[in-house]
Amino acid sequence: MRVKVTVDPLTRIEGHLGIEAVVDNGKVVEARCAGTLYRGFEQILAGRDPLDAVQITQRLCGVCPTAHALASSQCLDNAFGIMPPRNGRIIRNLIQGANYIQSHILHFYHLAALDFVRGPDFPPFVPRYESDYRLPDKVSQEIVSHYVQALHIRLKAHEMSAVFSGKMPHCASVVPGGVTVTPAVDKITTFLWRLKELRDFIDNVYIPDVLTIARVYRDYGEIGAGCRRFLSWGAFDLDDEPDVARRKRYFRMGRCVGGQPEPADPSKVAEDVSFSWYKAAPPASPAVSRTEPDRRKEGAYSWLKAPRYDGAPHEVGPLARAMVNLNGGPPELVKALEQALTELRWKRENLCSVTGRHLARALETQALANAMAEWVLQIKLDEPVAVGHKIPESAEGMGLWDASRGALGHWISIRNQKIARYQAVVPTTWNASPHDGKNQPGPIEEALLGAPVGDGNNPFALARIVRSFDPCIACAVHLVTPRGRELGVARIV
Amino acid sequence: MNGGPPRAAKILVAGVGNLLLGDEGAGIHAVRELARQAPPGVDIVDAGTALGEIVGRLGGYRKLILVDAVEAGGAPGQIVRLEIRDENDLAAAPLPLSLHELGVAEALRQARLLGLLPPQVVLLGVQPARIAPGLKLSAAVARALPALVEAIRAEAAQPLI
Repeated sequence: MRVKVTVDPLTRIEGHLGIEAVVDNGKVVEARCAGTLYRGFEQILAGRDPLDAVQITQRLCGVCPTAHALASSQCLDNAFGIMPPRNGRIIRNLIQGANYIQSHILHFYHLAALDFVRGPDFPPFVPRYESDYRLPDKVSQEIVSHYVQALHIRLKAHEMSAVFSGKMPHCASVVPGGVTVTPAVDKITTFLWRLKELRDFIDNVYIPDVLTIARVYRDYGEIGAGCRRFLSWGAFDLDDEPDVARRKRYFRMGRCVGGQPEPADPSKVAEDVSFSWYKAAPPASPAVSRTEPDRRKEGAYSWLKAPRYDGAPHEVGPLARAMVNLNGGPPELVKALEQALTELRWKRENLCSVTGRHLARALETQALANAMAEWVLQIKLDEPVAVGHKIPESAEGMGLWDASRGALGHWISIRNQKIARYQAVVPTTWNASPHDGKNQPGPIEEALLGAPVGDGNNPFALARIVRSFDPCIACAVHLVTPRGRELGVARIV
Repeated sequence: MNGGPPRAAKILVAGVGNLLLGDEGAGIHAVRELARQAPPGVDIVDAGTALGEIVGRLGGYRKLILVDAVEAGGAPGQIVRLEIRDENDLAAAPLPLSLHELGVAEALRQARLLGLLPPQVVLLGVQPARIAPGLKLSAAVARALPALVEAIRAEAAQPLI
């Protein structure tokens, strides 16, 4: 029997996303993933001073604004033809790194863990799907206590960002050409002791909890594979090479298709709007594409566009970085991934799954936190943190950077020293994208296909799959337009 | 977990209620009156309709005194005192549709989960006569208000457990 299962809104994610699945004989045979809000950042930015972009694009989101500061400042670096000095590069990395740690811990404990761990029996932990909690009570209670501890740990991570960014969220010190903060010994030590506490938590709490869930929910190491094509722009610059494609980054830039490494060329990215509420247009590069809403467009079902690489959907995020970096990425990350595979008796393809995504997220948090402890000591107190800039009459710029949730690109066109056009292609636009002109589903839609849905009123498997991607719709959709919405048959809180 | 920041005051008095709904705002009227001449060693907060929003401020105290309109089946204006040993002493609110609808019991549960609930919690309440849109207290509750404020002072003067 075919039934339609609607989860709208899907909660415990960032922003507003609706899922519609057609279930036949207990399995998903069709899935649609809809961004239900429109935002107008492209329109807000047009006509403004290019320097405003770094501050305004951060307002796309309160969870990972830092990545927009980084992508936007790199986009302007590129347009202005400048590169930050070593200190500027390192401090940007530290600000971003602290936010990665914060964001990943937030996602696991405060958004996703309650899919697997029975929380307390009072609001906001209820109502919930009452089924398939497999952990013994004692283990559940322990992880709930980590949920509480993680609130304090995230505070530490925010403080760590703020040491160099002035405040969190929405950092103040990142600018084209570097940063505006002067390093000092007290800043470095206060950063380091917080980092030490975070690393203890990551090593001794976060990773063991993820492994516990991966072991107990073993079938979720096979559920929710997705499109198996991965893209990462890479992140955390390790040298000052102006060409982003040749720059050395801690997380490498690249793709992985069918388990094989492939290069990533930003000129092959195009945004498809066949099923999106935007004026019909052929797929176009974000360097030239337009964002013109058309809310009455026939057949459309999402405010998200569908970015494609060389015409194909690609998953982005920690799993994509793991797949790309397994071939020649940071040795300690590769080693940690391989160790975990052995420990779980997993094959590499098991990583392409619900628990695989959680594992990839946790292990990159650990590798990154360890690397940051070295980076902070590479700051030279007597060296500059920024170079000056001159706003050109006319220029094009591109900033490519991996946010905690995946590949993020900013594109700018400057005319008469003002922003003529701005475009951001953000991680969740890749992952939660709708179908495209070739009728290919987006990565989350594809991951839902075949998912077991026992009871249409209790579609916990769907929620687990979608949440494993850490969707963040706040920045994925292009002004908030209130829209009448039929409440689905299921409501998750 | 930590029990919140160190505090100079040992006792927090939190007025709870909705000033726009007549007697439902009695707790707020009471703490405002109390604040004209605050007892020593006591912090006072107007929690309005959102005790859940200030859970983070409950930590570090030895005693929490909640002041609210309470449906206890008594005569309008009657003052009740309830020692809250656990949150089951309070009726749970119906399941909320949003986080803006959490009741007092849910807020206390959250505070306990976060390790921020003071070891002693006492509810001082007044039986409402009229809960309906309006800024004024009913005559019965208005008459009872000084006694309610006195009850708060007496409670705050009790030796801490």
